[in-house]
Amino acid sequence: MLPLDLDVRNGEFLTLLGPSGCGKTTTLRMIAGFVRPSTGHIVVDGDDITDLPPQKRNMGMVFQDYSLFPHLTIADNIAFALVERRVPSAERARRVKELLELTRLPQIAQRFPSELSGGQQQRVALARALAHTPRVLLMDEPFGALDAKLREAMQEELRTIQSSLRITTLFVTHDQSEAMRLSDRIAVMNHGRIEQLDEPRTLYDAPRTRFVADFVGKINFVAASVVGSDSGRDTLAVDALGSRFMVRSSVPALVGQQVTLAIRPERIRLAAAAPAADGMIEVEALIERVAFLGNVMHTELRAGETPLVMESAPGDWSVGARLRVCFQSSDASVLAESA
Amino acid sequence: MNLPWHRFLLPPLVLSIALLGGSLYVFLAGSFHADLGVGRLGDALTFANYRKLFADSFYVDSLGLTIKLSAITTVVTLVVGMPVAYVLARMRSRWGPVLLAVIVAASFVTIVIKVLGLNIIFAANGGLNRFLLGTGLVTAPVSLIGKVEGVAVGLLYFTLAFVVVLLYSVVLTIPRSLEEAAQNLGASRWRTHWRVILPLALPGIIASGLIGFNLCMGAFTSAALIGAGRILTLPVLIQRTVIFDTKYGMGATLAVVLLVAGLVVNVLSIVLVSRLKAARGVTA
Amino acid sequence: MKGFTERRVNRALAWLWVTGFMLFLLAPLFVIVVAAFSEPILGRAVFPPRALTLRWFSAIQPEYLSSLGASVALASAAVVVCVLLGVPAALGIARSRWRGKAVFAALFRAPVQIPAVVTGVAFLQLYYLLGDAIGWTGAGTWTGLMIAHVFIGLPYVVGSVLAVVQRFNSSLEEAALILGAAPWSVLRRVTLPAIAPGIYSGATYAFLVSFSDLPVALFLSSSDVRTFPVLLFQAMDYEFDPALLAVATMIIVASFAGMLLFQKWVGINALLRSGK
Repeated sequence: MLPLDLDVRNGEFLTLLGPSGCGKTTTLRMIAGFVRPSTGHIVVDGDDITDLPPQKRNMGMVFQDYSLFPHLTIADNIAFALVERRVPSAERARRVKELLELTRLPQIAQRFPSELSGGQQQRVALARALAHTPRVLLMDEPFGALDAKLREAMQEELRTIQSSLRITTLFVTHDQSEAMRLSDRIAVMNHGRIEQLDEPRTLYDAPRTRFVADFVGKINFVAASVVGSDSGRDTLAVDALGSRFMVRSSVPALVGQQVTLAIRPERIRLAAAAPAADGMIEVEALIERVAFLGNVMHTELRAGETPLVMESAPGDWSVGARLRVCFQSSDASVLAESA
Repeated sequence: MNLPWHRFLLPPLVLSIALLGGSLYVFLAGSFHADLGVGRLGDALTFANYRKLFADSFYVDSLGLTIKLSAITTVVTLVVGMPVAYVLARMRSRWGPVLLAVIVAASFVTIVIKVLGLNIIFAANGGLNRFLLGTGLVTAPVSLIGKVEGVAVGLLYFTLAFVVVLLYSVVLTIPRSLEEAAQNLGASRWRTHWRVILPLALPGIIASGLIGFNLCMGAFTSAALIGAGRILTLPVLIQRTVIFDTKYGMGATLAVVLLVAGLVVNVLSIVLVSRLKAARGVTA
Repeated sequence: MKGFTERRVNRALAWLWVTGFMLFLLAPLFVIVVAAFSEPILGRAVFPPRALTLRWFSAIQPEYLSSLGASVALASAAVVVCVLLGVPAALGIARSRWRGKAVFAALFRAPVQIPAVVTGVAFLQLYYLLGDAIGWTGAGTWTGLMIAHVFIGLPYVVGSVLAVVQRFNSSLEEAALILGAAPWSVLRRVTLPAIAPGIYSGATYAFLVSFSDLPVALFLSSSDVRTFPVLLFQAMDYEFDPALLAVATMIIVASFAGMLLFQKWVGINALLRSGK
């Protein structure tokens, strides 16, 4: 892992997002106390907890495989932390009931984990993590084992619970749509470092690096060569797709340099349908594949040597035809290779 | 998790090393001392016991007999037990685990009791002998006592249940889907066994056989009870030498030879198994 | 229809083989149980019996029962020591970070490789040496015999617990830690309950090894230290009292009952995995 700085705000839902091996789980486990950072500090609410063992950090954690104690009933699982804190049994029973209701579980307190379904075990794991009202909730890809419909339902419920409790939550996942749906902010990670930490919308509309642009949503990459740069302002003049236009850039570049433009598929539209405007770039392309997805049409085009993907409202074109498409120059940007 | 795991290990380790080291030392050392009669040992270190052992056919025969009996019993156990283990492991009805449990329970009972039962079965005026004599299959009552075959039967009872349970676990490691694939490709039951199951199970079978062999090599009770002083396997000989002849030196020497013989067979078999694996390119 | 009859024949053969095997295996035990209830002919037990009786059970000498009780007590004591030593040993081997861990595991397994006779001889000599050196008599005492039984039983406890610990999901411990349990508490509340099947099956094997042992007990016994197998062995060599058949029957019944209980509480799978 490379050095990283992370500031989590009180009560926010922050997701660590990235592919396998990017370091998101390691970061989470460092916060939990199972991995020691080689340098740096972990500070919670002003307290430096770097040297504290996990059991003294007052956090709640939901593990990827739930890790419910197989030899204890559901009630004993949920009340586990309360037993450690010497909470009297009447109070424990009350709290268990409260948590079962919060996570919308039926009265299964006396059953054992092996008797429950995956979704139910998941909720018990969450209830157990919240029982002692921790100040931070850590979640390590908790929904990975659930099927799509169940996952969506759980995501909804998690969001509801989290915002009603207003507990600071750190969530790890590799699923970008899950991250977008749940988070107040997302830290996109790659190779042990954070590439960008922003709200979902900003990440999507203004990705700062190639990796982020490609990982969050889909993106087109178009080769371009620089013909003019305006040092001091973040714009470049480039030649691409047979036209010359101005684009935003996160990095400086020299004339003659080859750069890559990033354009979102939904920003490419049918030229005939788009109103003429300043900075509109038109391109003619050959249709290679068409997929009808219900509410959108996914069209793969080729303009000269460059592949382009367009996502638009469904239309009447098919493979083999030529299409005139367009995009705004302001929708294209040059991104940094990495953070 | 932060617990002093090494300190958990230390007391048992120390005790184990002390006892293991102590016992190994005692009979290794003892074997190098001469017997002075009446249980006393000479002070000088000597190879005399070993020389005596290998020179005297009495001792060498005993070693040979022990190895032979153990090998034969092991082979019979494997041949008889493998089909049983296979059938039980593949049985889909609930009788499979029940029968296995019965076998395990049978292995719980001490061999002394089993030999007692054998004695009753083969009693001269017992039902078995009366039947055999009556139908003219034999001319004199069949008895196990004092016969090599008898000791072999005793060894069989000693190891059979245990080895079958081991073989059962071995069969369980072979996925049923492999057999189904073989049959789908045209192999009959027998061919499937021959071409798929046996080769895959072979390392496990040999390992189980080795355990059975070691059990037989060291088996005292059945040989003592059934051999009746006439069939002298090495374990029995060791006991007699130490208790009756009070020759501790010789007894220790015999013990060393028994251990080493067993070790040699084990090593040879392991070498054989790895040669087999290399020849087939099998990944276990 | 060749395939169909072939299957039928195969199944019949298989069943025949297994049935024959079970009959062979259980015959001696069956015979003892029946003989324990049968009228003797000329003072000797006979199979098949002419008449049934309970007299052997009432003829059980008190010394048989006390010997049986002593065997049970000895085995229980040995098991307790084995568990107290073996569970920490297995945890220590599995969790510590020493490079030589495999050596330690092999060390604990070593006594299994030594034939019981040899162990008996070795301990006898060892105790004589100790007796000369520090004046403690081990031979012919219950303590001495118990130590020897711990020696031969410990590998089963260590092996069995080790197998379970190695399969143990460590995130269960992490879950307990993050919920606020201190490491000793985690051990007590989560780890030990989770590895309990391994402990029980190892303990069962150790108990059986001690209870059914003859060779070691033979070397280390004396006129007042006699386990039941030794008593039975000596009786079979000399004068055999049919009342012993009754005691043997009790042992057989107890073994099968014990297996039933074990299957119910722990499950046979634990036994299968620990036998190595």
